[in-house]
Amino acid sequence: MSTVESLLQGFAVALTFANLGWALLGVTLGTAVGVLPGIGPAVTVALLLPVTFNLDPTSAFIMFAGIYYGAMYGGSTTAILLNTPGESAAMMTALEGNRMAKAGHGGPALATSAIGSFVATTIATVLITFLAPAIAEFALLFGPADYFSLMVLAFVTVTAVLGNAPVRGFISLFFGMALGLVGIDLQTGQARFAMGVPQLLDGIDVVIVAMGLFAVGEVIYIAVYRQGPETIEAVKGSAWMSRQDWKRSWKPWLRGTVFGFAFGAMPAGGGEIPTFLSYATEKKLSRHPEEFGHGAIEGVAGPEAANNAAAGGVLVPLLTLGLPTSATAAILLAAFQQYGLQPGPLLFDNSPDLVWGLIASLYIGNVMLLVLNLPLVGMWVRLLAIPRPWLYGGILVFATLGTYGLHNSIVDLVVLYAVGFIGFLMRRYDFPVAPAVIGLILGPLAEQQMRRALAISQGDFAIFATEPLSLTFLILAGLAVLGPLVWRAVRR
Amino acid sequence: MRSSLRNGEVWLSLGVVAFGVFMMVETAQIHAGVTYARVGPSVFPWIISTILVLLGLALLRDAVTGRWIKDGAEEEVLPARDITAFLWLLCGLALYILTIQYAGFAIASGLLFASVARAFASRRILLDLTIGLVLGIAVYVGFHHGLGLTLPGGFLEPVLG
Repeated sequence: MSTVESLLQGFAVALTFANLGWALLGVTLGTAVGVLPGIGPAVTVALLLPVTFNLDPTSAFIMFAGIYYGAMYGGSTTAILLNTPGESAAMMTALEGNRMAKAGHGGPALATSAIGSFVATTIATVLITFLAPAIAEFALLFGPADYFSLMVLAFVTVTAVLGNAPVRGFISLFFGMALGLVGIDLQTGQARFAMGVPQLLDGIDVVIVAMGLFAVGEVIYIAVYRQGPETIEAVKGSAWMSRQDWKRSWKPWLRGTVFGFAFGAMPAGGGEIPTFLSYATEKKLSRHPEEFGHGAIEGVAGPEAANNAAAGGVLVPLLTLGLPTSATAAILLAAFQQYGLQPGPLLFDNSPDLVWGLIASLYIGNVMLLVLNLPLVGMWVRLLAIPRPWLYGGILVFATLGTYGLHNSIVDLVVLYAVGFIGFLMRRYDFPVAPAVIGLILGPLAEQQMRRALAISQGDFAIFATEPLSLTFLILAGLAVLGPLVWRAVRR
Repeated sequence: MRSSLRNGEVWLSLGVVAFGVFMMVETAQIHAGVTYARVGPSVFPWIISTILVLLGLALLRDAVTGRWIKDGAEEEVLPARDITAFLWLLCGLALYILTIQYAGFAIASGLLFASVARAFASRRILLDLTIGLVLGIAVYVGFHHGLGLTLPGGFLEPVLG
């Protein structure tokens, strides 16, 4: 079946009344959690995992995808009006967007960010539609050794390349992998790291770790280092963009999309680098470089497009290779596992309705999001007025609900609090949190592939260097670690 | 400020090393099956725990030499630590563990909600308790009856079902 036929089939799935409803629910929830500080898409999907267990997987994923895309839209509203970027990828949007809002151009800032997000997400979704099947086809050639080395490459790119602190990134990653080891070893039935606690034999649920790191850790941090009251900028000025605004926005949208999608799909993960690159590019190309830092519309349009395109790009390695490169993607992978599905090349053959229904729903959800975030933006701004004590109280109520609801176990709550405290320390000392979640989910899969490869080679580790694809991935991983170090040394 | 930060960093690095060593000790106790002697269940844990110890030592070096601070793009100026807020959070979380099985989800959530609100300097304790309890009841009804999640009803079980 051709890609276009498959996509039409997908639309037939996504356009049913029920699935449209799930998509609408997803994008609405996603925008809400994107707008609200202290809670994001990873926590939201994690919270919904246990209650969607009995739902049809296709419907569940249509909703999850809506949450994922919706949070990107909502996050920029908060960045612009509150100057608190919900995630590092929204930092650039906050920088220029908040200045625009302060200067009375909040309307155009929100508009260029919403329309730019729409343009970027649409292009990214088209690219997913045509790239994903091709990559899935290619991935059929991978053996266990190739998969293991590819995962090593992904580990390196999501931790070392991003941010300026590779050591802390790797500690976060290996902490996650350590948590992933807890429980019964599936191949030999041996208990590992359970320390005699029977509840730990089933392993540590990703829901608990996500709740701990993202919700509990975050709330402790915000409570302990509480800043003074925030100021919410009112949306002043025309909500629509002038002809001049359009003229200054459309090129940054397209350039931002290219940066974002490339980094998201690579799989380098994360939206930080493409948004920084887009910001720097726009500043260089702008005819008004002096406006940057005082509310330049290009500085909102470009990074916001890059951010959304990166979010779309991340779905390519997730769906085709089963490689999550962001925290939310890791939770989505856990959702696949919950349904007994393994994302990767075979998913396109075995569950075409799910994959193509999901992709089609991305187009639909994106249109819904444009409507939700442009004419209805005032509704979301009101969410920002929730008093902080109640907002964070509510977040902890839901985090504990998500954890205790899993198995009604006190041990789970103790694990949640412990992980939450570690999350607080990580936040305090500037450790990236996403690698921990990726390590938790991907670690056990990497171990499985490693042991399969070693079983084939009868214990000879050389197999990772003799398989050509595997060797290529490992060399790339080595370059990704050493490259920046060498670069720094040369520049000195 | 700066020296206390560095102390924190040193302790944290030592914590990472200790965690890695603890993992090694636990790894040594994994029973390796006979048939899988070479690629048994402890190979991967050995790799991870060894790397964790090395990373912890690298972090310790950065902390002691002060490179950690230099590498951070810009040192955020944090407001003073609010220990009271931390204690209130701790109190809320502990209360939750103590009450959830007996008093039920709604009451435990109400107490947690009010404690967190107190940690964020809310002074309207009765109002917070009321809102927390209403939220707890709403979530209980929605998730337990609506979505089929098993949650303890506790004291309110006769009323909420």
